[in-house]
Amino acid sequence: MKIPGASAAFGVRTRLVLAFLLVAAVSAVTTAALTYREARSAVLERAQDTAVASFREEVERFVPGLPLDLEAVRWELYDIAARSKPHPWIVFAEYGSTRVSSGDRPVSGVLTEDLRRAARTAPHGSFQRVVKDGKAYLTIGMPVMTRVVAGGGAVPSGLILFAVMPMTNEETDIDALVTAARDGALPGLAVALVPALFAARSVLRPVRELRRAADSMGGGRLDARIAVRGRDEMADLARTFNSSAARLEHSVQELRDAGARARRFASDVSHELRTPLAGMLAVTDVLDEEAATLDPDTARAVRLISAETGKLAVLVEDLMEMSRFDARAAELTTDEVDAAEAVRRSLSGRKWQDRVRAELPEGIRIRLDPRRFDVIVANLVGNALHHGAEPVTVRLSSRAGSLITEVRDSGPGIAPDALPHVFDRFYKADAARSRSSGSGLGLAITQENVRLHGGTIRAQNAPGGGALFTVELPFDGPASGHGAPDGPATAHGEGPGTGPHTSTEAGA
Amino acid sequence: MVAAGRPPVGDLLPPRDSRVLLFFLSPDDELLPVPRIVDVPWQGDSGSPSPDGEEASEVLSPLTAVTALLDGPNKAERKAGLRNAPSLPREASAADRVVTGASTVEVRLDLRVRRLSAPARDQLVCTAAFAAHTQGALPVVLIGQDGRLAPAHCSLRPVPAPAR
Repeated sequence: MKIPGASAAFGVRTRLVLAFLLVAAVSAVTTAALTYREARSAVLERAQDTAVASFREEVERFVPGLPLDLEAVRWELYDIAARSKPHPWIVFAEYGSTRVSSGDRPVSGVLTEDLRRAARTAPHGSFQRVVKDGKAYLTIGMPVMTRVVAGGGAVPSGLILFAVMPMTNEETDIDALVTAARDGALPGLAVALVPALFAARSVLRPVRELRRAADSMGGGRLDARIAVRGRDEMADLARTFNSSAARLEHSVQELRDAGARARRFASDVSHELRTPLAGMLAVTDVLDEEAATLDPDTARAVRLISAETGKLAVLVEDLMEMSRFDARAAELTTDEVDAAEAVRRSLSGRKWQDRVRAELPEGIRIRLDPRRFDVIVANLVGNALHHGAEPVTVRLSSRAGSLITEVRDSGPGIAPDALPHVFDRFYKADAARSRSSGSGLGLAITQENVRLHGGTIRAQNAPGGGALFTVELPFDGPASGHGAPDGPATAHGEGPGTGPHTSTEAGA
Repeated sequence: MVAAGRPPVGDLLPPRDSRVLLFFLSPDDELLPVPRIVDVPWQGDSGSPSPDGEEASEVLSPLTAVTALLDGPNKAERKAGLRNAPSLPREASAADRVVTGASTVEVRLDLRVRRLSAPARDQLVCTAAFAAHTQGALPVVLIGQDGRLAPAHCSLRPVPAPAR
């Protein structure tokens, strides 16, 4: 029985957990990405706006007189640099060809020509983010305007101030955001495992119960039911399973009852037939004796009645035997016997010792029911004699804890399509030959007897032609665990069973 | 490159009554206003307005400004890279006279005005305009040996600046 284990590589649990983790990961990554983008622009913009506004303010506070006095301007630049916000910046001043700065060098390597041109030509401030040598800078260019007269309009003064501010803090902030998002996502995934496992458990528990119930139903316990919890799809499934199981149980019970009634009927019929038959059998002897004195036609009719009555008696006996097997009323009365001796007695009891070649090694002792073993041997040999062809061989051997009894004839064998059915009741391989000498129950009774012993019986076509029946009986009785009586292992023989005259019935 | 709002505005020029405004070219060929402090002689009793204003501000007159412009940048200004347009002769005496009318300023020069390049004309126009008018709003006519040019405005127009 194949039961998908809980550890299946891509079971429902694994898939549910993976789906949960995927959803969690996707949402974490999306959230982190959006947060990162928003926060990044917010952080950068705030820093830029602050820097630009405070730089303009500082520049307006600083009013050098034109024309420029370089030394004075340098001190003013130091002053502006000291008040830098939000981060330290370096201030560069350009006037004509004059270059002054608050740093070591009068000219910055970070300022781009674009920004210079914009500051020189456009009447407004400009800024630019520059990444140089892996470091981010904010560069601001401010053309200073001057009023022509106090309170009047302004014209460009020719003085341009630049600020260069490293954005390392912002980069650090953004890096910290990324780190925080990553560090938050991993515990998030770990936390997502918990609901994932819970969900998997809540789905899988009903499935497991269902499996257990289906398993026990397969094992024959038709009253297995599942507890219905909640109102979800799993509960629906459980309800459906329960009602199906109930219907199945009901149907099986009806079938069992019908079978039991049929068996009881057969048993009753055979019992009822026995009493009148006993009376008739007593009369047939008289009829047989008197037949000689009657005219030939009447004598033939009388002998026919006598013979058919005998067959009817055999049939009724077989039916009663079958009924006992069906009712599990058949019992073993075991005794330890010599196997060869038991077979010899069977053969000689029916005066077959001359027609059957027996290979009976001495000294094989086995515990069995002698009467039933006699039935087994007699049915198989009788079947071989009636439906096969002589010579018929009976061979005993022992192998692996079993007594092997083989009965082989020299007939054409069994037709392949008949092989699976030779042990069926009233099975006739040749429908035209419906009136046979046997009851049609011989092999079935043989099989039941073998099962009762815990053994197996097998029909096949022997390699050299002819039907071969093999019976294996365990030496130590049916309790030896030699196999539950699952029925015969019916093997198809290698030899082609060609003839229509195929052994199917056992004469009793 | 992002525009970042209005430029800073400051009072970088000395008060008008103690300077003339000259317009030189920067190394990038841009017109820059350059103040030149002049010594204003004592006008006597400051309480009463001078009856002869034209005479009183002789040192601040447009003619003085144009003369100073033609004289070229001084040492400090040259050091800052300021210069005159090449077509402008370094000849202070070329400035003849400046007549400030109600609606125009006429500048008579002892040179050929038609030969002046556009930056050179602009220098003269702006210097004269800002000397004649506080906001340089008057059109200026340059008159030379070879005739007169059409009235022109200074290309540097003051833009409104926020009051502080």
